[in-house]
Amino acid sequence: MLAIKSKYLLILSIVLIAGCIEDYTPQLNETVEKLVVDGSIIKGEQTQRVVISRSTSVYNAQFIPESGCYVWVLNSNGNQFLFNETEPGVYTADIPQNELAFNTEYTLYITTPDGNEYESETETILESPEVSDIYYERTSNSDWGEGSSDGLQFYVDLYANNYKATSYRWVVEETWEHRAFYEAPYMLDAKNDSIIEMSTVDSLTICYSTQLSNNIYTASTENLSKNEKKKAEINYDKIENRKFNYNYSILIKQYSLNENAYNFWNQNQKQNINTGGLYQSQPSHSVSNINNISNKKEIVLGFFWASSFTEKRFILENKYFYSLQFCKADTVDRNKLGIYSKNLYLTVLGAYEDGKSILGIPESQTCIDCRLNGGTIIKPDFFK
Amino acid sequence: MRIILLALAILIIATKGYSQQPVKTFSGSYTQTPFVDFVTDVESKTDYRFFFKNDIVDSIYVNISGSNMKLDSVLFKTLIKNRLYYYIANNSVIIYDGYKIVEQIDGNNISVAKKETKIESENQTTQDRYEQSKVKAENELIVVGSKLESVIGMPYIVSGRVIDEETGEPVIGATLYVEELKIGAATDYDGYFNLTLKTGKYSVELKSMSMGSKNFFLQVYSSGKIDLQMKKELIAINEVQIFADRHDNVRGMQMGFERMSSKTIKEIPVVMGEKDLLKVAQMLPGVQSAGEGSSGIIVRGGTADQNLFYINKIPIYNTSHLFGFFTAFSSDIVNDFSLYKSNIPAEYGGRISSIFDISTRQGNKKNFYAKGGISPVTAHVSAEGPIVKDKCTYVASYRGTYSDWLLSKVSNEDLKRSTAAFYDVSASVNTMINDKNSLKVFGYNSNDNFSLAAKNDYRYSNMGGSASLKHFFSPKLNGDFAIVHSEYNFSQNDKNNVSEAYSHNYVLSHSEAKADMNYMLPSNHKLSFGGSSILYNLNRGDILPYNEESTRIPVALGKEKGIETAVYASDEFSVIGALSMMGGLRISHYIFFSQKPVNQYFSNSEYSEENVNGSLGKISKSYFSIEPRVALNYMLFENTSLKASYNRMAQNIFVLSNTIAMSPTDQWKLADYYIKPPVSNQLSFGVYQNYKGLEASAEVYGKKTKNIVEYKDGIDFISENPVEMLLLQGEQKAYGLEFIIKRKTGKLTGWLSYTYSRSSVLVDSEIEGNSINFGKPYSSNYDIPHSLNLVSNLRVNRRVSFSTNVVYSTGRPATYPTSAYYFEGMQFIAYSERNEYRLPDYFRVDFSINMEGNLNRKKFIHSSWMLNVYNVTGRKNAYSVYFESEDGNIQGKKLSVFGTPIVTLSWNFKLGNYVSD
Repeated sequence: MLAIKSKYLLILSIVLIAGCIEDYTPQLNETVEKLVVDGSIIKGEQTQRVVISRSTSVYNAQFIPESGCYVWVLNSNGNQFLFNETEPGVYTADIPQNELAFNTEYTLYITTPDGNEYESETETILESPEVSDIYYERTSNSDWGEGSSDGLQFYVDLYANNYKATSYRWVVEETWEHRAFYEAPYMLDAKNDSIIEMSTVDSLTICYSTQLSNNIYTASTENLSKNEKKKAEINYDKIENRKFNYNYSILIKQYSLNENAYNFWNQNQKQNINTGGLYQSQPSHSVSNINNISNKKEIVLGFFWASSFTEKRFILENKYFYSLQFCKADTVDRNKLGIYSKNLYLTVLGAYEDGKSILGIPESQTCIDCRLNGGTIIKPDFFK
Repeated sequence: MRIILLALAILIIATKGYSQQPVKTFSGSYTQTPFVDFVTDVESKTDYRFFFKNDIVDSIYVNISGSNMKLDSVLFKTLIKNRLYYYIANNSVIIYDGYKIVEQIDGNNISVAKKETKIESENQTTQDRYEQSKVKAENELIVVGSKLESVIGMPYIVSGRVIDEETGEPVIGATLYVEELKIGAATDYDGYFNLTLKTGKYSVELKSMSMGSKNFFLQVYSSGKIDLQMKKELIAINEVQIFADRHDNVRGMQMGFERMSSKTIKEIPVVMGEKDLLKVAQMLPGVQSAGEGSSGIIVRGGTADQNLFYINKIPIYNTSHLFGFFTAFSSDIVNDFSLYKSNIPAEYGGRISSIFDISTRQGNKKNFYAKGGISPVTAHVSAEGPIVKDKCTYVASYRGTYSDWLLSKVSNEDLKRSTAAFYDVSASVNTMINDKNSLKVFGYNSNDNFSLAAKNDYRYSNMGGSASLKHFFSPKLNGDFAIVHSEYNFSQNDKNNVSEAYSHNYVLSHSEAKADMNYMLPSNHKLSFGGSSILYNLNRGDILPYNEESTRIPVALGKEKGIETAVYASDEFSVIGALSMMGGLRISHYIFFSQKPVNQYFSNSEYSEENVNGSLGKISKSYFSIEPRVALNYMLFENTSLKASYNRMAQNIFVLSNTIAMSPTDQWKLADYYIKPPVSNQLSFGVYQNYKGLEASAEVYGKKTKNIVEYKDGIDFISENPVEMLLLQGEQKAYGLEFIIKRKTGKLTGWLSYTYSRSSVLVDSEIEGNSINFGKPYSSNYDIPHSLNLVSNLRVNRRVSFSTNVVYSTGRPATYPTSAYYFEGMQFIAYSERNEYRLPDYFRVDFSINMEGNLNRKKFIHSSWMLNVYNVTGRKNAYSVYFESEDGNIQGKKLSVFGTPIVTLSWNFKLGNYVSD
């Protein structure tokens, strides 16, 4: 709560009084690698995953898998499910849906190769109601204090009356269309020093990227008289990032949370938006529900949570266009095709008097092949 | 140099005196002889020379006869029945009426002066001689008491008042130093002082910060009251300087004590052109800022809420304006402030780190006077003058901001939708009712109002009033009786989310009655005693839905009531020779009345919801605190002393905060059934030395505080949970060394201070969940080992002066992440043990130029300009460091609040033909 308020106080002070933020890389002590557990039981998913790894130093963040663990989950019906290591550090199990019932409790057990035994606290699958309204407002959200920033702030409403869970997490997956600056009707075949006409003109111009938001969005109705929350903030993006130029959609997965799972996600949400403000709370120890059975003092990072989810897609009807970045293109001398060593897409810049096209080669292939900016050219079915 | 000459003169005179073997007895017969004739006769027969005003002896006739009569007994018989007193110094006889002070007689030079004048003009009358010696005098002689009552060797009490000759205002913190006895006294807030002296003649030096010094001789016969006037030596701009209480430093009992006048405050460079006494205090050894631009202070490693701020006895619970960039007191009305951090006098209690006592101007008794000024952020004005000339004065001040205008100029949309405003006003009336009574009434209000991006509204205000009566029961006994009321309240609206939007109102009221008595006992015992009783009424407020759309569950945070009653006594006396002592004891009783049922918990378990085992009902809880206050001063040499002190303090009210800086929504909370009042024990030793206009001191201290309040991770102070579930209590240990060297006179003045200070906290318990940092000690938030401050002021001429600050300190402790890990493809970070790291070192240089206008004293308006550059080097000092995931890497970020040089120009004016501070 305070963290969010402090953001504004901070901004005010910064702009008023010439504050600034710059990179700073203090020396940090090397710490012992701690066990990290990233595990969940999600009703509705076919495959359940428990990822076990080791923490690393801050400046050299990497995934260090913990292989060879013995991993199993026990539910309150007394059934055990053994997980198999399918990739290094990644343990999976296909649990039948009938064993993933609402209000059933799950406990995770891990034995590491060095013989240490860990168990999680018990987590319950709670039912998630349908995702309610998703909408947005055009706003200038100056969270980062960088002047005016015209953008879209998306919101979701939560209506969970008659549902047991009072805490939720939303996972936001964005899909947006983006286009290359130039169309690519021709391709220069460097091997044969020839120019090939492409079959479909549009094929490399329009792409669709899909990305999971790296931000964490949680809500709790703990302090509210109804199990509902209006206008919970989810993702925000600036219009200048051009995600809203053409088709845009978000898919929201709404996960129910137990109280301590909410604490875990909420803590990390706060740390993500920590801007070191004036009235910032002190950082606190990481919330975790995994313990070493024989040594409670060992710090284990991560969490094991159980949940169910519902999902809903929102398609943005309005377009908010922000001009594409201009790309320069050089004309191609058809007599000197030999100077090019690899295949390049070419665009048409105009026509010679003889009616032949003036072919251009853009300064970068990212200006003509949208795939180089990420995504695929296959149009998702949810876009008309 | 002058002192040496004077000493030489005294020596010469004394030698002469002995060699002359003066005739002191006489014979004669007088019947109804007019006194003047008697005098002429005696002068012809002896070496005695008389000084008196003719009119007082008009009706006196001498009837006596005999041989070898002693003048003393003749005068005694003749004068006393006529209510006249006399004084014989060597060969000089001074006759005066009542207790009246005989002014401007050069005591030691009388015989010499007399001789010369006699030769020059045989026919001079005694009256002429009296007048003449008055003019010639260098040092005045002040006679106290009546010889009639005098018993040799008996200690008498000399009390009195020091006032400004020009304005009639009391001179605060002036010191009287009795050279022969190496003892002294300082005047209090009303200019009063007390000295215990045996009969005899003493040379006394009277000194004051703003008034300079003067020397006089004091002849004590018996107890009595004297009024001393001091004249400002200076004209408008020749404000010579922090003539601080030089004697206080070495000779006084106080350690870890600083007193600064408004003058010092004004000359120090400031940010945004606002003069600010708390920013000045932050330059003193052992005092730290609670963050760049913050008005909170940290004393000897404590927290910001461990300092008690008084302005004319009104406690102020929030000292900041505009997020703390400004202090809630207008410097226009401030006369001076005192900061106690080692041995805190027994009359003070209630906070464990320091007492910060601000006294305001009492108003000019003769003329109307006004001053004011504008800076980029505020405008301020104050006025003062007599209501009844010489009897009753007023002072009023106002300061307000126009920062809204600044905000509207900013391009950021959120900021355009923000507003910020503050003001503070004060008024006081000071009345000298009569010789024995004076009354001071003071009122104060500060108000802050801001809204941010139309999402959060904050408002907070301090309001207070005090009335205090000073009464003299006798020269030996005086008392100060005060009633005080202070109220702090804040309200906020949080509209970030429609469903969660809430409003919160908080009120703290503090009502206090207190009496402080001073009693002079024989043999130099200065006894102070008194008591106070405080009624705290808190309403931590209700969290209420902001509007109909909000479904926020109303939460009553609860009302609280507590009564804190304290009695104290302390005695300051000379133990033996050069050793003096101040011993005091404060006993305080605090009772908390709970206004709602108190939970009972299972024994030996954490205070948590799961461990609630019924209710204790509305139970009250008492705490006693016995607080010894002892200080010793051993005068090693004339200008060197060693001091030691031991101090215990208890604190019954503290702030609920888990943020680094104090925020406008921090709630004060009373110690209650479960939360015990923190208690600190402090031991200090120091060496004090004055040398050639320099003043130096070094002090070491060790402090241990139990029941220090710390917070559990991730808690929320507006939740339904009782506070005992949110916090833990532990032990804090602090120790350090403070060194300061000051130069208070001359063209270049200022100080250099160095502080070494450590502070750590331990919260450990057998009970699971009741430890912080795994039960290991950790650095407190303000464990700042090294800190160096240089404050200097160079007066180029009467119109121009330059000031510079240099500030260096070790970065404050911080908690950094020590490991990174992946969770669902995201990078998460885990933090180190609490406060294991430090922010980068802090360094800042400020500079200012003061320029005064024309120095013509008769000018109607005097104006001055101040050009300020804060953070000249533009160093980007870290306010905080945080980490974020950026392109797959975790990157540290450093936030600086004042990362560039900040240049401001402010203009100030003084109105009226009056030389003020």
